[in-house]
Amino acid sequence: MHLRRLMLLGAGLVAIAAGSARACPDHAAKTAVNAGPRPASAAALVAWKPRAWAPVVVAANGLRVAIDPVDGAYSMPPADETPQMQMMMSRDAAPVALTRRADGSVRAQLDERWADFAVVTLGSDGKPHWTCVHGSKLADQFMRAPAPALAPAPGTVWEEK
Amino acid sequence: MRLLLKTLCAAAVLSALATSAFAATIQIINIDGPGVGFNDPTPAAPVGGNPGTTVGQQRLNVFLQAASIWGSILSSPVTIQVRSTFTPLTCNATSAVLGSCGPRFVETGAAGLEFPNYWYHEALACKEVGVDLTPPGDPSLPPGDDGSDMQAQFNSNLGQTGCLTGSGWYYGFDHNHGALIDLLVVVLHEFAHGLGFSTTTSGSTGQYFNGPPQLPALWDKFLFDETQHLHWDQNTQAQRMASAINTNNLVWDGQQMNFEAPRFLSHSPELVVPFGGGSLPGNTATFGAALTLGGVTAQAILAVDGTAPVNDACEPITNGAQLTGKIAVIDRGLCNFTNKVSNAQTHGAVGCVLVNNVAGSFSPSGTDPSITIPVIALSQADGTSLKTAIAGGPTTVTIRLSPTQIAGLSAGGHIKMYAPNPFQSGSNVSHFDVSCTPNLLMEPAINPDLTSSIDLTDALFRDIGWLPRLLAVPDGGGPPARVALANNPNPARGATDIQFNLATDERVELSIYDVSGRAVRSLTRGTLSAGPHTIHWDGLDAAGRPVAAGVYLARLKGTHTQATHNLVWMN
Repeated sequence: MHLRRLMLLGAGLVAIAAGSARACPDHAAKTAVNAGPRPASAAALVAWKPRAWAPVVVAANGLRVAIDPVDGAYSMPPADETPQMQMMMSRDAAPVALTRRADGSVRAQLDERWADFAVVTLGSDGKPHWTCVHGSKLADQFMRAPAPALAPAPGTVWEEK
Repeated sequence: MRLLLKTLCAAAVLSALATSAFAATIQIINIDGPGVGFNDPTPAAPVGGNPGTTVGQQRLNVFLQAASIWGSILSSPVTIQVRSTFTPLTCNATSAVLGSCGPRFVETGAAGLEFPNYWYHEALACKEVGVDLTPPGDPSLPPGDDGSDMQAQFNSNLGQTGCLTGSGWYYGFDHNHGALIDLLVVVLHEFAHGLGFSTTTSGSTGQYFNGPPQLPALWDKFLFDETQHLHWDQNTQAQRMASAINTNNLVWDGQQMNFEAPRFLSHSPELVVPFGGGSLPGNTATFGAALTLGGVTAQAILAVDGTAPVNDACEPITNGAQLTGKIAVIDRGLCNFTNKVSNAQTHGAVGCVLVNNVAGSFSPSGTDPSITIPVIALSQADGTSLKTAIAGGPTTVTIRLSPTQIAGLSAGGHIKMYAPNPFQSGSNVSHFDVSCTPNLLMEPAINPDLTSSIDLTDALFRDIGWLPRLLAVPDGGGPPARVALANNPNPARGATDIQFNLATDERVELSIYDVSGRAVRSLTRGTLSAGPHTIHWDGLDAAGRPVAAGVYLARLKGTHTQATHNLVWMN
């Protein structure tokens, strides 16, 4: 069975846009909320959309194409790889929850895509070597192919022999 | 109901409160349930200054210690809250996710922000605005959200069977971690990211975070590309993408950092040679005499021990008479570095060049107070060049610190940021470059020689607004600082030793200043001899009063030498 490399073309981008649009569906509605009465406890807020972060489903939208690594031919991606692609797309493109205040300031609620992760692997010397990567995606990548991410630099690796 | 109450108790809020005028309160919010994580009741013996008697207590104490250190350094009228958990994270027998930390929110446009059109990490935004922008009960927060500024989660399974088996966390505060992983250093590093040591702009695509609005992060205002001559809030997305892999040319351009970095970072070790470009880059060893700008000059002689491999000096040296007054050249391999150098010193060598036996560079470690000669380690390729020269005739070399090259500074004199090409997982442009010497807390790979020192991170935090910028210390107009100044322990409580190394006999003054630039106390004034010096400070000011907790500046000013170092005092 050939290994296949997936590539998303223009229609895939449309899919992302569609997903984003679904997650942020109603800019006009925010304006409407701004114009209407607000609870006293939320007086400082123009609008608020309680959207806790969650993957956006974009599976039904867009065209995915696989490139055969041997002959370069375009074809449909294997069915067993499609869910992985969908998951990657959803995680990368998912919007964040925003709060827009009356004074024009904005707050965005981040998730683990913006966190920094300490990851570790045992080196050939049997000792743990840890490094810091940005975002859950790179942490996942590290765990799939753990390796010291960095070439030893002058003064950074102390050797006893 | 009892379970609910227990859970609520377990989710107690704990504070690390520092008492300095320039302090911040950092609360560790324990969200773990009963019996797990921070509440793990497994008995544990106190270790390395951590008095906890259960695994859970020790974990929490480490978090509190990290919070206390950052709290004593930063300044904020608003309590910083870190939602924290110790929980099982991804791992297998040889690799693991240790933990993570990041800001839970970013802010832009709020009145009071120094730069309103940038994305700020929540804790820093609250500090600048002066109010908690996400108070508990804020109606804009999802139900049950306490509005914490940062979130931290660490791996509770580490060291158990199937999860980096045989290793595990070290919960002591003294960094005596051996083969374990020093939790305090990891937490200090990751907390720094959550406090502001990161950008929301993508290093891999160059795209600004698009809330919307799409705006640069505060970080980007200071990130500078020396090739493009543009900051990251000035260049295009394509330029930022290129900049993220512009090795050695992506730098931090902040007023405070530009002032501090040349004074903190060390001169690069080098071997002056009569061939090629005139010098070879090298690394220092943890033993032997400190390298100096003047250096040690002598003829280089290849040591021979008669047993293959014949140049490793692991057996008795057979050409010892030739080494007297000379610099011994010895190959790496088979025995400890200290044994090799000790053998050469016994025969009267005045210096030692260690040559790698595999490709690349290395940094020899070891402890042997009896070794008093300087040591430099060369790569295998440079060592081969040196041996070729020796074979061609008498070759005079000098082991010294480069008078012009500072490890970690760019051609433009800025501190380098980590930007490897090709793009690597750690290259989110939110770390210092790995070439910095001494090693820094915020390099992407943490080194075993790190302590709780916050080194140059303090200068960077001043640049982004966590603290007043400190450029008011009187300068005196001398030449630029070119020696490393350090103190141990740092943070200090009760007393600390300030260390530096003079290249020549020199008239110097070592003084302590507070964060506003006012002199606190002069510790020594007079002529000191060339070589290493340690000056003790008991934490008293010039009037004999104990100083308040906070950040202080140790400043060494001499005829030829100048250096500044931040130290943290805790009461």
